[in-house]
Formats: sequence, C-alpha cells, structure tokens
Amino acid sequence: MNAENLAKAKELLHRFPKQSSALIPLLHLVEDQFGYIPEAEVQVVADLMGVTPAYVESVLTFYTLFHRQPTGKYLIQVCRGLSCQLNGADELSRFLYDELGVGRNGTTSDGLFTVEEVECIALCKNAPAVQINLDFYPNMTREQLRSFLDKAAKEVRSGA
Amino acid sequence: MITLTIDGREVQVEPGTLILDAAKQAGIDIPVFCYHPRMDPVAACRMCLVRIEKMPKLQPACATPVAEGMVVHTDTDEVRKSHAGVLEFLLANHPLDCPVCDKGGECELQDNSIRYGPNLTRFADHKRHLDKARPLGPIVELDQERCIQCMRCVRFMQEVAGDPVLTLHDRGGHAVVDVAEGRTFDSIFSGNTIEICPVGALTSRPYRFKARPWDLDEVESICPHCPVGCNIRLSLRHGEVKRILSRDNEEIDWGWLCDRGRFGYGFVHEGVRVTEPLIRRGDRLAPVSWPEAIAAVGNGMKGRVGALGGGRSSLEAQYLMRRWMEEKLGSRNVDHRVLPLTTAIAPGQVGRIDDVNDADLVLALDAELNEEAPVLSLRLRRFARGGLRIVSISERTGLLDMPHQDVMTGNVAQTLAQIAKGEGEVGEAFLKAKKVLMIWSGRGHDVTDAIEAAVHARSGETYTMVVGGLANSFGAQAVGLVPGEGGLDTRSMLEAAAKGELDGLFLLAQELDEFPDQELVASALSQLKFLAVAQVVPSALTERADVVLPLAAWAESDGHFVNMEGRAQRYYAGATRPSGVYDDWQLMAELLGVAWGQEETAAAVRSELPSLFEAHRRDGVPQPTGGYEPVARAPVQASIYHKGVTPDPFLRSLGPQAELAGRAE
Amino acid sequence: MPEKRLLFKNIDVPGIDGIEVYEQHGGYQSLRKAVLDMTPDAVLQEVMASNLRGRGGAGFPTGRKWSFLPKDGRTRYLVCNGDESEPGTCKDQEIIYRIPHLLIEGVVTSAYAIGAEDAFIYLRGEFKTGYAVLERAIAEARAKGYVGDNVLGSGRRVEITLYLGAGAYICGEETALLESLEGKRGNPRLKPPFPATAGLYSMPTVVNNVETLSAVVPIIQMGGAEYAKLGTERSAGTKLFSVSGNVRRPGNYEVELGKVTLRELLYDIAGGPPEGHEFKAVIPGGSSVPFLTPDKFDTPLDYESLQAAGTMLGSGGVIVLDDRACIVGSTLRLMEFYRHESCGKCTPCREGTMWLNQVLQRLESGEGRPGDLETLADLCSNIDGQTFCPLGDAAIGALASGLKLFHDEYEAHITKGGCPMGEVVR
Repeated sequence: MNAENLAKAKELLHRFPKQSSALIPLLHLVEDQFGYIPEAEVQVVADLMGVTPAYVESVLTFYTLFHRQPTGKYLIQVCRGLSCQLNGADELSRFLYDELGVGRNGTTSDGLFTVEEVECIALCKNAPAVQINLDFYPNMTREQLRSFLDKAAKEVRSGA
Repeated sequence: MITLTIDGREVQVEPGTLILDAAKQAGIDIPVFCYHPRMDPVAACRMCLVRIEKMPKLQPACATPVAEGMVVHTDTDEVRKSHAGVLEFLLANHPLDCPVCDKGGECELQDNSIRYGPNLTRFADHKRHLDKARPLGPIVELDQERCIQCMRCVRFMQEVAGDPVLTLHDRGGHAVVDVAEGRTFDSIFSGNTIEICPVGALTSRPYRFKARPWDLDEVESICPHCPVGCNIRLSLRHGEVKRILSRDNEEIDWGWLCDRGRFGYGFVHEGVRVTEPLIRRGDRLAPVSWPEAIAAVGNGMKGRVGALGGGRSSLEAQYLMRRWMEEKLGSRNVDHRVLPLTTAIAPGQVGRIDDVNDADLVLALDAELNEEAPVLSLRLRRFARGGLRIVSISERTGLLDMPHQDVMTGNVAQTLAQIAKGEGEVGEAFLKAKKVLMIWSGRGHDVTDAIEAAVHARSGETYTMVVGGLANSFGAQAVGLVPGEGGLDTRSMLEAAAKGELDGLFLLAQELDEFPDQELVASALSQLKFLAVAQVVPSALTERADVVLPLAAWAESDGHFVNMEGRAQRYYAGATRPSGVYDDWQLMAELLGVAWGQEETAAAVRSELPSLFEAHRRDGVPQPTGGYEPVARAPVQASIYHKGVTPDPFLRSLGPQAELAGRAE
Repeated sequence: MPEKRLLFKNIDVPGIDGIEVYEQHGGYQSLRKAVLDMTPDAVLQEVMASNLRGRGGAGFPTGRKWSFLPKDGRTRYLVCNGDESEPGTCKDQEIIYRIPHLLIEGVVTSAYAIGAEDAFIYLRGEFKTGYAVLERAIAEARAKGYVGDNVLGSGRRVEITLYLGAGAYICGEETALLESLEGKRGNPRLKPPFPATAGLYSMPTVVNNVETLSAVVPIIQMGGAEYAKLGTERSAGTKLFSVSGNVRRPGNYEVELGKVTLRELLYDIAGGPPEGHEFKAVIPGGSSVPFLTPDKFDTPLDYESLQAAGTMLGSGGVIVLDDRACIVGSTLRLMEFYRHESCGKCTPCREGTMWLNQVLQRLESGEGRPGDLETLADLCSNIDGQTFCPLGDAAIGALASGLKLFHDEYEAHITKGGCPMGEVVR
C-alpha cells in the first residue's frame, strides 16, 4: 500500500465498533490501488488486522469484486442480468471481445482494458448496462462503447 | 426433563438437548455429516432434516433443541426423500474413487449412502475437477474433489484448536478447503482433522495405502507420550501398528489427540530394536540368554547401587522395581525424576481434567501445555471461549495462547504468594473463586511450598495437577520410585557415580539425554563400575551398558499408566513383539526373583494400591480415580469393521491374535 | 390508477440530492418532528400503525421487527440493507443515487425510534458512486445537525457509518449481511439467535431495506394511520416497482399497493410491450419468484393477491419477457446467477444449482435427454424448503414454475435439439 492508503488504513482500523469490520474496506483500498489484491498485500492487510493471511484470503475470495489477477486500467463489466440479457447484453460483450481481441475476463496486452461479464448490477431499468471502474453506463450501445474505447485509448496515448 | 415423541416413541431428555441426541438416546439414528458432537452445530449439510409437527419446513435435527410435547418424524416418505436428495447432491460431484480411497470402508458418505441414499443417481453431467492428492504438510493429504464441505476440519482448527490454518477459499460450488498459499498444515493437532473428516478428503500421509480398514484389528490402548493419558485405539495389521485413532473419553480427551500421540508409534516397528539380551565382553556387547542376563544384573548390582526411571513404564513394573530395590538390593537410591522434573504430584488435592469444566479460575504455573499436555489445552480453550479465566504465571512468556488469558511474568513462587494473599485483581479473584485449578509444569524451580500455601489460603475447592511429567510419572511417584530416607535422588546418584562412589546403576526405560547437566552425566557414566539398561530401542546408553535388557514396547505389552489425575488406565498388547523381548513387569519380576505371571503381579499391585494412593485421597474416594483392574491377557478386540467378515485363516494365523493366543497359553 | 408518489414525490426536482433543495421541499421535517416532538416509542407506534412491511423481499411487518429488540440495556444497532442485488430490482439504487437525504432522514428517524446510536448503511460493492453520494450527503446532514452527537439539539446521538460490500448477492440476506459487515465471509448465520437479540457484533440489531427506512419519512410526516389508509388492509402504503426487460418504458414506479393491477402497471404506466410484440411472461418480484403468465395480469399488486396467483411480491422487481424470449434460456440465465451466488454453505443449494445449471445448459444447447425435465422438477423439489437460507428457494422460483407453465417449451428443447426461439436470450 502506498503512504496515502496506509494512512487511510490506519483510520479504518478504528472506524468501526469492532476492528474486524475493517477487513473489507482495507481490501477495497488495495484493490483500488493495484487493480487487484497482490499476494504481498494480503500479508500487509493480515498484519494490519492481526489475523493470518489464510484468513484474509478466505474472506477476499468470497467476494467477486476482489481480483486475484491484475486487471486493466479500465475494468469494463457488462451486466448479464436477465433484464440486460433481454436487451442485448450478449451483443455488447461479444462486441468488446471482438474489438479488443480478448476472451472473457481477459485483459488486453497493453494492460488498458479488462472485460468481464458480471451478475445484475441494479441498473435493470437502463438495460443493457455496463460499469467501467464501477461507474455506471446505462443504456449502452455498441457505438457508445466504441467511442469510449477510442477516447480511453487516445487519452492514454497522449498521456504517455 | 422434557418429554417429546420421536417416531412414535416417547423420549425424556434434559432441556436443551438437540433432537439428534434425543433420538440417539431412543436408539433412533439420524444421519449427519457436518454435525460433530464436540463442536458447535452449523446445520449446513442438511443431511439430518426431520419433520417436526407444526413447523412449516423440515428442520435440522443437529441444531434444533427439543421442546415439551414436540412430535418428530425421522422416517416418513418426505424425510426419506430429503435424505436421498441430499446424498444424491453430494454424490453428484463426488469422484467415487472409493477403490483407491483410504477412507473406503469407514466413510460416512458410503455408510449414509447405503442406508439412506438413492439406488441410482440421475447425474449425467460434468463433475467438478479439483486438486487431488496434495500434501498440506507432513501429516495431512488433501483431496478437494472428495470434500463435501461439512467444514468439520475448518471448524476444528478454528473453534477447537484455535489455530485457523485451514480455511475455505472461494465460494459456492468452487469453494475449497485449503491452507494459505506457501504455507503448510503444521498444527500439532492436525491429525484430528483426518479422523473427523467424514470422507476421504483429508487422509493421513503416514497411513496412505497401508491397509484397508476391514483388515485392521483394533486394540484399546493409552497414549504413552504425556501425562494426560489420552485413550487411543491401535489399528493393527499383521501385528504391526498401522495407525492410532482416538477413543473418546468424556473425562479426559473428548476424542482429540495431538500429532505426537497419533503418529508417535514409529519406534515400535520402523527403527532398530534391541531384540536380545546383551552382555559386555570387552569392548563389545554379546548376545546371551535371558537367565544369563538376569544373573549378570544380579552380580553387577552389588555394593552401592541406584536405580533410575520408570516414568514410561507400566505401573506393575514400577511397583516391582521399588520392591526389588528395597527387598533384594536394600537400597533407597531410586528416582523416576530424570527430566528437569521436580515432582509428578503437587501438594493439595489432585485435580481431575474435567475440573476445568466448572472451575472459575485456572492458574497455569510455568505450564507450556502445547508441549507438556497438548490435549488438556483443548479443553481449557473450549471453556476459555465460554469465559473461563486462565492466568498464566511464568518467568517466560508466550507459554499459553488462550482467550480470556492473563499473563503474569515473574517469579512463580513470589507471584503465587502474592495471589494467595489476595493481592491485586487476580488475587481477589483467586480468593473469591468457588473452584480453582492450579496446573503446574512440575519442572524447573520447586514451587511446592508456594502451591501448598496457596491451597491453604483458600476456603473453596482447590485442586492441583502436574503436567510436566511422563505418561506414568504419577504412578512412579505413587508407588514410591523416589529416594527413601537417606537415599539419593537422580542428581546425587550421578554425582556419587562421578566420584566413583556408586558401583551399579540400573536404568528402566530411561535415557539421560534430557538431564540438564550433561557433563555430569558423562563423567558419571565413565566412572560407573556397572550399568544395566532396560530399553526398547538402542541408544548411547545401551552402547555404554554392561548389560542390555530388551523390553517390549507399550504397544506390545500390557499394563497400566497412571495419568496426571492419578487415574490408572489399562493398555493392552496389540503389536507382535520381537521374540527376545520381555514385558517391563516381566523383567522386574525376574529380577525380584518371583516367578510371577502377570496375574500374580496384578494381584500384588492391586492389594497394595489403596495404601499407595492413600496420600491422594479426594472426597473420601481413593485414587486412582479410574479404579484399577487387574492386568490379564485381554482378548484382542476384533475391528468393528470385521463383523461378518471371515478372515483368511492363514493370514489370521500370522496376526496378533495368534501371537497372543500362543503367549497366553 | 396512476402512480402514487410518496418516496419519489420530489425525485425529479433538480438538485434534490443536495440538502438545501431537499429541505426546501419539506426535507428533514419528519426527523425534526420525531426527534423534537415525539418519544422514540411514539415513533415506533406510528410505524406500527402504518402497517409498513419490509420492502426488501420478505415483507415482514417493520414495526413488529423493531419491537422484538430486548429491553436489556445493551447497545443496539440499526443496519440499512443497501445490498440491492436481486436481478430485476433497481429501486434502492435510485433512492441512494438521486435522493440520498430521504434515506438518511429515514435512517436517523428509525435509529431514534429503536434507540440505536450507531446506524450502518451497507451498500453493495458496485454502488461505489452511491457511496460517495451518501458520504457527501451525510456530511451535509451532519453540518446541519441532522446526524451526529446531538441530533437537532435533542441530546440524542445518531451516527451513520457507510459500508461497502464487495460483490456477493447472498449479503442481501440479513444475517449474511451482518457477517459481511463484521468483515467476514458473507455466509448466512444459524438462527436463532435472530438479529434482534444477537445481530451485529452479537448486539440487538434491526436490519431494514433502503426503501423500508425511506418510507418511515412519509409515515412520520402523515401519521401512521393515514399511511395505513393507502393500499390494502394487509398491504399498506406505496411500493416501488422496478419494471425492466421487454417493455416500452422501463423504470421505477411508485404505486399504491393493491390499487394497481399488473396489467395497469405494464400497459398504462410502463407503456406496454415493444412495438410488434406481445408479453409472454412476467417475474413480478425479483428473479426469485415464480412466473406469471398474461392470463394472471389482472392480479392486483399486493402481497396477498400475488401470493394467491402463485407468485410473490418480493422486492418488486418486475422482469418482463415478450414473445421473443426463451423461457428455457431465461431460467438458465437465472440459474447461472444463483449458481454463481450460492455461498456454498449448504448441500442442496451448492450442488443443486450446479446440477440444474448443467441440465439447463444442455437443454439450451440441444443436448437435452428424455427424463431431463422430470429430473429438473424433482431436483427443484429436493431444494425447495430444505436449504439453510432462502437462496435455495429463490434459485428454483422461476424454474419450478416455468416447468409447469411452459412445459411444452422445455419439451421442445429436447425434441427439436435446441432452442426453437433462435438466439434471443443466449
């Protein structure tokens, strides 16, 4: 964890009536910083919490938002809840796989994009819905996805 | 009492009893997987669902307490369908590799399937593929495909052992039991997870592919490795110990064993044994007959002599050794305390292990239970979880790791004296508590006086226990294997020997390598004129000895161990012994010059026991608490899996029963 | 009958997510009334009188749930269940994101009523933005004295702590939520003890849904008796319905319970089926409940009527399928969901969802075999009522009813070697 997150972590340890509650927020900090939960950070979190790394792993593997493998700069999650499926969610994910040349849960070789199909994200009235880095993108179309991909790629290029 | 009806039978049970246990009392079986009598119910596997009238759904019998007038059905069409349904679900993803599974034949999934399962499965899809045959550590091997996720192992490590090294990873159908990456399953209690695993998911590496359960003979025994005296079963094949299982004793071990106890039998068959009596001829040891060896000991043990050991020996041998020293050699130089052990019995009334159950306060004096009496620590932990207060007092820290534990670092005698005076919060608690149990290692500094003073300072029930001895140190002390008036203790004997003032020394199943002053040991051994060593396995001492007397290992012999509560417990011979060895009591009877068989030995011990244990009376009940039953050749109990199986007569003739039958004649 | 907006009354007001606008539209008046003019017990009595039932899915009377808290002086907690994860349900999301102060006002008022100083709002991990919205709103409310050590000068302390889950549907089950809130795996707990006696950190705890706690605001404003006049006798008040799937105007709609039929909701409010299509089936209470077919569309939307029609009101997530949708494919999609979300603790749910998923997958891809449908139905019956928590029953809700209502369609998947609908859903 970087210094800023470490400071946040120290605060989190005392935020709740019982310290055990801090575990999931701490894992969020790690996931936010690294885009996944690296093995070494499991130890860091375990030490902060005063529990075994095995226990930390047992908890983090229960939750799908914690990744064990690195994810791209943009984590694109296509909702495949029934309402989104009924409104063409499959087309969106297929489009992304074709466009980016990756498979399910795959990350592009430049590390920019990861594509996942996820369970219902509570945007059913805006189907088909997508979330990118947990920001909601309601009523998505292939065109909107394409312009997002272009924009993101361009931003990264100009930034680099 | 609560009255309820189960399958038409009226049952009366204590309030709070679970339906499952109430049914058991009425002789009605309800199948289970996740339930374990020594752990909190979780109601996860759904195997035990029963119909309770007036309740909307089937209910788990393992987690539902009885209520007055309750009407329970365990054998209706609906319940049978539920049983078969759960089993069909469990078998759907089960690999069914029973032919090569060590659990086959004693597997709860097999047993429940036979009795409650569907005859056919409808599952025709893809089974889950997971890790198979993966060692988790030196002891336990994991097969994730066989796991039915009852979580007994995970719960055991967490709840009972307090060492959550096993965890569940992932979730749903992908959830697997595992240890953390890069770690090993290195708990001292790991073996219990093998025994409580209802399927072959966790199996024993030492026992891997060694036997089929239906081919095993089972013999009741007592663990020889520490003074707790856990009750065990030896599983034998062709007279060889293949594994050790627990034998649940409510008052002692609750069915748990430590890995030292469960796997500490290798020396019986795997190592090199002393198999015939030896006598020194110049610089080598030459085999001789037993009568020659006995005579040689008689010749050697003359003049100023002493005897050491007995803490690992049968009560019978201890008794005979004391008489031998007294009557034949006229010596008071005898001591069983060779470790840094001060005493095996503390002042005050001797406590019982189950005093932990209702004690208000436990003082652990220099006690390092994971080393000294591991299984006792599990009971302490259980009640500590329920609020039992434990105060660990020692100059060292980190001896105990328990919930609700206070640690007081400092001189034990001084700290205890302050507590006895009611000083401080612990002192107040000590004087106020209704029942206090003091657990002392018995090693190192002698705090006998401080304990005695503390016992006297209290008016309520106060009990003491010494946990730092050997399996039968209590027995040794009780029968008098301590220096008589004017006699020498271990150190004095060694010092005398080093000065050339001791002519002969006899060691009964006793090494000296843990004696704190090894220089003294070396010079004593070099100066001794005569050294006789009775031992199971060869060692530096047998190399040095003038006479070597080969003994049967505990698994090959019969006798009693007296545990730290003063409870005499019987162990039975199971393993086939090498032909040239003697029982320890047989050797001592020969030395004493009585041609006693075991019956006579037993009778003699029994006649003297009440007075031997007089000093340790509690509430008018003479110790030992377990009573003393005469040693006699016990019939070897056939394995419980034997029923209905006709053994091959030829194979059987090689087995331990034949061996024992031959010897009993 | 059109919508009846209580919770959503001001949801379209620009800037209503800010505290100034919220106050200008009557915001925090209920809290003011409760804390300054009423005893906690009086607030509880109003909620009792309102006949409000839990809006998360189970429909348990809220006032009664509150009254179960033992009066033993132990610390009490209020936990708001914002783990909205039931497929087809997105009503709490709209409250949280668009009118966060309504929820905060409901939480503080309810915490006051039950005597809890600490309230927790547990949000599903995907509501990260909603977390930020609420965080800002709570800061605003604290600055105005609605939240904090001394709520509106009453001397009462109510603090709100936000908690973000991390992706687990099961955490919507209240005991699993409490486990997760304690930083553990979200496995449901063995009951009893119920949360009212041993909930969060083993203390007496009330767990209520976002919509439920939000409804406390209009209840205090209008009085419990007045609220109870809305809807029917046993299904009082208004309810948010999330309409989604194959429908012209998907959205969250607030209607009086029992006063609107499913047909009215689907046609008059949500605009009917997409052009050129007809409705085929509806899952009216979130993905966990049985299908309703168009012949039952005149069922009034209330707890009892929907139950009588063979389904449940549940969370109010109305998933609409038109004539293009494949029922087999839809139930497969739902079974994949439940298989993915089963915590794995109990056998029938863990193994049953995996097995059902495989059989449905085979049917859909043309590898169905004779006997599969009987097996599906029987496996459902071996899960029904036998799992540790309600997730097992939820997993088979749509499938078990689909097998009955659309048996021919399942059969056709076997006889025709695959999905006769073509690839609409899959």
